Amino acid sequence: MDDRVTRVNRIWLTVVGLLLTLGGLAALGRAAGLLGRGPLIPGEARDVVAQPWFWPVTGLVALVVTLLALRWLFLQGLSAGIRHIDLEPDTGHGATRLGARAAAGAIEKELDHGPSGERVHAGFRGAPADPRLALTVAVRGDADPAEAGRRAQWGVARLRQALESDRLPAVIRIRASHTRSAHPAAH
Amino acid sequence: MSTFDRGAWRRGARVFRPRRTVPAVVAAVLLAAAGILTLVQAVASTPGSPVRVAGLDRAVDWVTARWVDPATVAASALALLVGLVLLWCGLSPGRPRLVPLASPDPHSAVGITKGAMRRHMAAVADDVDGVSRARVRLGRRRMDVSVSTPLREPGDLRERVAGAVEHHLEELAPLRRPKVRVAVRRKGR
Repeated sequence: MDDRVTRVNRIWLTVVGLLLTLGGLAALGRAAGLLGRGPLIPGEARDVVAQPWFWPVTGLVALVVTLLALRWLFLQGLSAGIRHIDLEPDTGHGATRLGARAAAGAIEKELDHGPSGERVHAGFRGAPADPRLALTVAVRGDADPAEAGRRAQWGVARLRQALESDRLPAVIRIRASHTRSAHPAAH
Repeated sequence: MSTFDRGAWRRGARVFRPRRTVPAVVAAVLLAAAGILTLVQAVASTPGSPVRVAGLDRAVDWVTARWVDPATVAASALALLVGLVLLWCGLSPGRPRLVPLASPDPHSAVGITKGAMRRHMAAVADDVDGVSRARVRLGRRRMDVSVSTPLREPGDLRERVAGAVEHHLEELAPLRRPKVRVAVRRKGR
């Protein structure tokens, strides 16, 4: 779910931000003479660096940080669409795979060109075993978005019925279509 | 505010809050770059390592660098600044990008863009008899509707516009209902 990506992002941003803030504050404090001046790397530190274990341990820590950062980076791709959805989450019975595009196309076809002239775009996000429907409904300026929203909910219910998945989470976004013909300020 | 259900609003708004993808990508790339540089430096510095990285040693002269050096101070200030920005991105949930609407189905979240809501409410106000032009501004908790009328005596126009907008707001059912304010301007015609 996108919820998870948001949570991970916010936790990591807080941690990295906190480290940078504290490090920057400490360094500025030293420059101002609050925590004692002197060289960036004191003499004792050079003895530590000379130890045979220092660089291998530093390298290992750097490797772990790099891998965590890359994992965080690739997590951002999770919010992109998925290609297929698994209809039988219970793997003991074998999974039934369905093309996400086909399912999305079905609800688009069902809802497109409704009474509010809505244009619908559907897609699936999350993971194949835990899909989430993302529906964008573009309505004309003179149309009633409340009605378009209700119709979209009805379409979601129909899709759930067809997929036999009554808990398929859905996010419906209603936006104004770009056609200017019925713009209220046009006259 | 009596009808405002904070829990429902928070649940509804969560879906539409920014995911912080851009700061996350920037921070992750910086972190990975710093990790890779350190890793290369560590491998090159390990005694007996065949790897030699020319130039890396000379990028920063760590041995002679001091806390009061302008470069150190500038780097510290930059770290502090970036750190504060990332911290803010992490701690603040951010404002929802869409206006969350009530949904009868617990497994779906519905939202409408501010532009679409503004346009719809302007169309509603525009449909009221005696209104020649309507404009809507949408704040976090307030909706300002300003209408122009050619009528010399607008009479109860303000109330009628407010009634129409309130009625459609009820239909749309935003989880946080904005307070409606209507201003009527007479068009000099």
